[in-house]
Amino acid sequence: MGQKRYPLPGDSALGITERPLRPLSGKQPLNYEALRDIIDLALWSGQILLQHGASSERVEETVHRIGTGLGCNWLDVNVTLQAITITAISGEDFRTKTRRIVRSNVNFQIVAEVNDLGHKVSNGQLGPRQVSHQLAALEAEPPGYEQWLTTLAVMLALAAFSQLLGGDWVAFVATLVGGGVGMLVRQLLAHRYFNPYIIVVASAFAASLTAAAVDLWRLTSTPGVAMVASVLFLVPGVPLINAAQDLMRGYTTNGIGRGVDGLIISMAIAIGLFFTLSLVGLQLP
Amino acid sequence: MDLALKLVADMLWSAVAAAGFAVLFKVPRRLLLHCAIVGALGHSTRTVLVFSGANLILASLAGATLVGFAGYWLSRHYKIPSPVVTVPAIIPLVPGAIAFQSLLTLINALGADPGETQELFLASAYDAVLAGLIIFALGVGISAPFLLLRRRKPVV
Repeated sequence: MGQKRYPLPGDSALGITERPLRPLSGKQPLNYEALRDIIDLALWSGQILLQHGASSERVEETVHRIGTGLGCNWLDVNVTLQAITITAISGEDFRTKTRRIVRSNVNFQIVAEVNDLGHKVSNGQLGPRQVSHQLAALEAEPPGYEQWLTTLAVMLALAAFSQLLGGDWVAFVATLVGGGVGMLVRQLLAHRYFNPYIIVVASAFAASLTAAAVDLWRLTSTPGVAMVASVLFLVPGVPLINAAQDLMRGYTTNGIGRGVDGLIISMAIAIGLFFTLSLVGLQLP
Repeated sequence: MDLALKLVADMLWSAVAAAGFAVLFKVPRRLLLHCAIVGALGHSTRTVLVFSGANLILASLAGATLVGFAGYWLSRHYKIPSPVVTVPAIIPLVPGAIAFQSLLTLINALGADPGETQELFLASAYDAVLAGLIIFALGVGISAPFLLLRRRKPVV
């Protein structure tokens, strides 16, 4: 990233316009249309990163890399949780644009690929056209796993949690089944565009109630474990870890925002659990 | 012997948990096994430390730091962002059960007898602070390699 040297405010008023205002670090000044295309690509990649679980620092760095790699002298990037704003600078020209962030679902494969894209662009291996094609391909066909495989893996993971929490084998099976039902409910509601927090309450309720129902005969000596373990797939791990990382790196407002999001999700899970516990009449261990 | 068996079970189950969440977070296929192994290392480190009398928060920090450094190394080796490995691997350490316990105790406190309310509020606050500090320790732990090794003059 080249040395930054802005014109001082008032330079032109003082008539100091003859000297080169900014060292161009060997880059040709871009015309207005080229600047528009670059800012669009940079915003697009930033939006994809933020929507799929990247931390604020990674978003800012990658956006910056793509913008400067495609020929800008500098980018000023403002990452918030709701929108990204970029000012791209080339020669004496600049353009500013904002893009809204709409939804989010974690997909680390997409994060890894856009991150890789950023490195390739800044090494000069990719031009604007290829970047555009690759981003479009990622959005058209997001890489990932089949739904049944994801559900199965999560069920096993939750059952493993029941063991880590000290549950017995009845709790293991109850967690497995409860987690599966919870995943199904979440998927069904997400397809109908319910509010994300409502989805969490409903899936936590469904998962824990199913886990309790499997253990209707009270065979297990660790009754609370299955209920708690079966809702752990809803735990806001990515928002909370990103919150801590953002706070550590100086993105304080983003960190607070993600932390509050994680807190509300946790409360939503607890409310779902509370409904089940009220119905079943059980205290947690 | 019994202890060794328990440790193996701990590693196995935390590996399964980490790998399951790695699938949920759509980690590339070639890195699933790495997530499982790093997750098992992190969680079993905490288990061993807690068993030998360490503070739960500090033990979480130690486990998370191990995960952080493993993720840092893997991210350089495979040229991927490190959270791809560290976030699924840290999931077994996330104090979900403690956090729910805190919130449920809070809900119960509101419907309890006047004598019990104070006690329940206190128990809820205790769990909330514990869960919050563990989560922060996890965040610091997995950032540790970046905070210690990748110090750069701010340019962006």
